[in-house]
Amino acid sequence: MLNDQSTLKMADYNALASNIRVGEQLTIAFLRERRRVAVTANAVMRPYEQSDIADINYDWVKFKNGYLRTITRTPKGKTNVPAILLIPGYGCGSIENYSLSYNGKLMNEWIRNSFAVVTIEKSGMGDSYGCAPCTEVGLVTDIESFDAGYQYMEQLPNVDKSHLYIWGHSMGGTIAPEVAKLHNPKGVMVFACVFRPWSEFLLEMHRVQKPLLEGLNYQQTEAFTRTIQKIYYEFFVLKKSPEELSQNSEYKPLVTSELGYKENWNNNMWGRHWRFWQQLDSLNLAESWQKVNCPVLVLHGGADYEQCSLVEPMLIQKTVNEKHPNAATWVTIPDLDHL
Amino acid sequence: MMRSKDWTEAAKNFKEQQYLKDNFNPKIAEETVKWLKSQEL
Repeated sequence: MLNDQSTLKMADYNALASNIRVGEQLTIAFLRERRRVAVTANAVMRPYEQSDIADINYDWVKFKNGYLRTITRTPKGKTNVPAILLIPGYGCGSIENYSLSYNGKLMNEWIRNSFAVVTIEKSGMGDSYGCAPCTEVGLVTDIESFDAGYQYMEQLPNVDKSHLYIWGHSMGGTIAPEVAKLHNPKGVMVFACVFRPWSEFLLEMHRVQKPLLEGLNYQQTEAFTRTIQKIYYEFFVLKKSPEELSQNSEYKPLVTSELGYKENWNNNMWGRHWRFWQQLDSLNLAESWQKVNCPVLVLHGGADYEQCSLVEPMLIQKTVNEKHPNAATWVTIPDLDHL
Repeated sequence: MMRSKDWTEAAKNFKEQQYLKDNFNPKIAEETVKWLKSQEL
């Protein structure tokens, strides 16, 4: 129990905890050796991050009925610097953990080379408040939140407004053109992202991952792919819900094992609400990329078994260059993987 | 963004959470910095 409210699931706890502000009194009740214990304390904030190379500024951006936390890292003591909006992968992780991950290593290199980096939470994550939980919103909301991040970057006092960039990793590389087409960035960099509709890409991904990660032979992989293709068509194209698909006895085993559906489930499919993936499949990335009117860097990892297809970076490059000749550059780094 | 020679090693590195253990391929940072600087000329 947190403040006399039940927290049976992590999502319940997160929803309550996200509204607690520093200094507020809170009561936590828990079981210890089968006895109920209740303690009261004042909330203490997680310490602000410090850096030897960056001035770090914490802020909020108004978003729908609430606010999203932003963290901006500017090269120490510098002003009027170019800036990069960092758009990460699909997961509901907080930007507060970036300094410990590959994102932190990448950001530090950009900062050492005199670029500021802007990060913004997804809906309801980290120190945001008043927003719908990340696990309940769709891709459209993610795009809107990173668009809010871009607009925030545009009005920062210490950045050069004519030198704004977007970095998109994995799903962030799908969101990047959706944001870039609404603005006038100096450049867009994407890595490990798709171009084709998600339902089309997934089939190729399964053909790589089923033998690699689950030990299926190629005949088993063939049979799996042929069945899941029918489910994907109904889910992604006809927009049927997992619950509807589970009514089909042929589909039910794979709807359970692959889509994660079960009775009374929480709509969580692959870490996001199932509608997130339907919205992703509806994006027309050929159209969006051709509306991006700036230089584009497309990076691909030769050891990436998640975005495993050479077709994706090739099609992004060709699509951009068809409309804006020589605007897109494609670089493959052979010994680079996804995360 | 780890350094892995192929899909098999990448899957092993992911399973071992090497991304939390300083396995980071600096070539991705180098490529982005090189490209960014070329845009700033």
